[in-house]
Amino acid sequence: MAFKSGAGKIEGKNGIVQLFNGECIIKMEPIGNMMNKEDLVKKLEQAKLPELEVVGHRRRLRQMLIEGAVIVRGRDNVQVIKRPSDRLSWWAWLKGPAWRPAVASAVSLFIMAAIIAGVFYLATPSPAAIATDVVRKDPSIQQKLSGSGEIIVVRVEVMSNVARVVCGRGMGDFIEADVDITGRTVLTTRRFEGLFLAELAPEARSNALNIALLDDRIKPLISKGATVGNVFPVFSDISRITISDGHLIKITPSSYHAIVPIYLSDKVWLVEVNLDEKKIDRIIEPQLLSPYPYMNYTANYL
Amino acid sequence: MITRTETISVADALKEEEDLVKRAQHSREAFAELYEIYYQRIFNYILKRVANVQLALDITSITFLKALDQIKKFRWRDIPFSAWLYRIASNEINDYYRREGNRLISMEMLAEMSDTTDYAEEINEAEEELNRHEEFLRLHEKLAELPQMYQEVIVLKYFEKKKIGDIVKILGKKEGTVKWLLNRGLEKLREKMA
Repeated sequence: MAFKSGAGKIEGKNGIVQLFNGECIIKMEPIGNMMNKEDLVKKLEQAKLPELEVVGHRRRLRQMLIEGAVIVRGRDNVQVIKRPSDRLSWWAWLKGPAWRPAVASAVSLFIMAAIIAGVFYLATPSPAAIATDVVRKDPSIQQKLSGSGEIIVVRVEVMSNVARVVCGRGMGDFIEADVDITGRTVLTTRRFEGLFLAELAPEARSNALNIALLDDRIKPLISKGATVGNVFPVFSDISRITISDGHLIKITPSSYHAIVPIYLSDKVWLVEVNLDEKKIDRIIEPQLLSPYPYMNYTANYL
Repeated sequence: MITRTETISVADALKEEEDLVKRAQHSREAFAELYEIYYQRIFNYILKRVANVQLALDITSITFLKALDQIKKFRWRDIPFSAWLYRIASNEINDYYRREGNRLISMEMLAEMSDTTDYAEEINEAEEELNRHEEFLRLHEKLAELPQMYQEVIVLKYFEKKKIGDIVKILGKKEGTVKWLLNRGLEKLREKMA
């Protein structure tokens, strides 16, 4: 800032020096107002300082120290005091004698080895799974089995390197195949000799009977002395196939339709019951019975 | 245990403390004796640094817990035990401010202990007592505007009445550095107070 001639100095109050140059006043704070070092030191040394005591905290902290509490860094960088019994931190445990890290390393290695072995085990299919896969994909077995749909493997017996597999499509033929597990090939096939028997769940059978017998078209037949035959399922789905005694194949369908045969003299009425909707879908009008009653329904419905 | 009423030589007192420290390295009960000797001193030092009762209690807790955790590594020939405690406390205070005052410690375990109402009342009374020290609080307000490295030397020298030699041991710095920090700190404090 330029000063005009005639600038002067005015001593103000409290030692403040003001320079007047005709245009403006520059106010300057005197150096004398800043505390000197000695005064500051005196001020610091003579300040009345707080000397407090919080007895409760002192007592509690002592108790924690005796109990062996530690500080553990928790979430958000907050340090948390934990009792020894709370100390689940394995890091704190590791900081103990040298044998602890050694044990921790050994356990870690063991766990890693177990995981690798488990993964290897799961990734490697079992002999039974290999045999099943071979049979399902074998073209010759596909051709030999009648019917369509997925091949159902009923039984697998593993004998060293060869598996014996019984398979079919749920209806009709069943084949027994010997499979080389290592080579993943079908060695031999033969027709499985067994008796096919279809079953309905007992509750489903009971429901089918009730629905059929309560129908107004069936009641007159019953009053005339008609008898009720074995209730059979209509195959819409198969839930299980089992082999017992090496020969008998039982097919247990998860079906919602059943046939209730009603016999009167030499005729049979076939009542088709819809178990899902709890009604009769249709009644097949009387047919002549064959001399072999068993074949009447097993031949038709298997 | 050393008590105020006993009159013993400085050398004997130091020897007694050295023995106590050695025992404390293997015994929590022995450490508790050391704790009783130094608790008040460390708490009030921290209080003078932070001017907040609850914060001072938190940092005091951490200081002694860390001291208990690390006492096995303590070697008497390097620095005295009291200086070691002051160093831990200083480091914790600096750490706290470095983290911009983020929450320091979960005091749930302390709060779990019985008599929490009285404990809270006690803290309130301490805070009220602190608020009565207006001159100190005014000084602290200006002091708190300085970097931590200046604050700690000024508080140790003028509030804790430590000699330069003691401050050297506490902070682990050279004597020349401590003196420089002191001078520089005072200069800056003068400017703040002007």
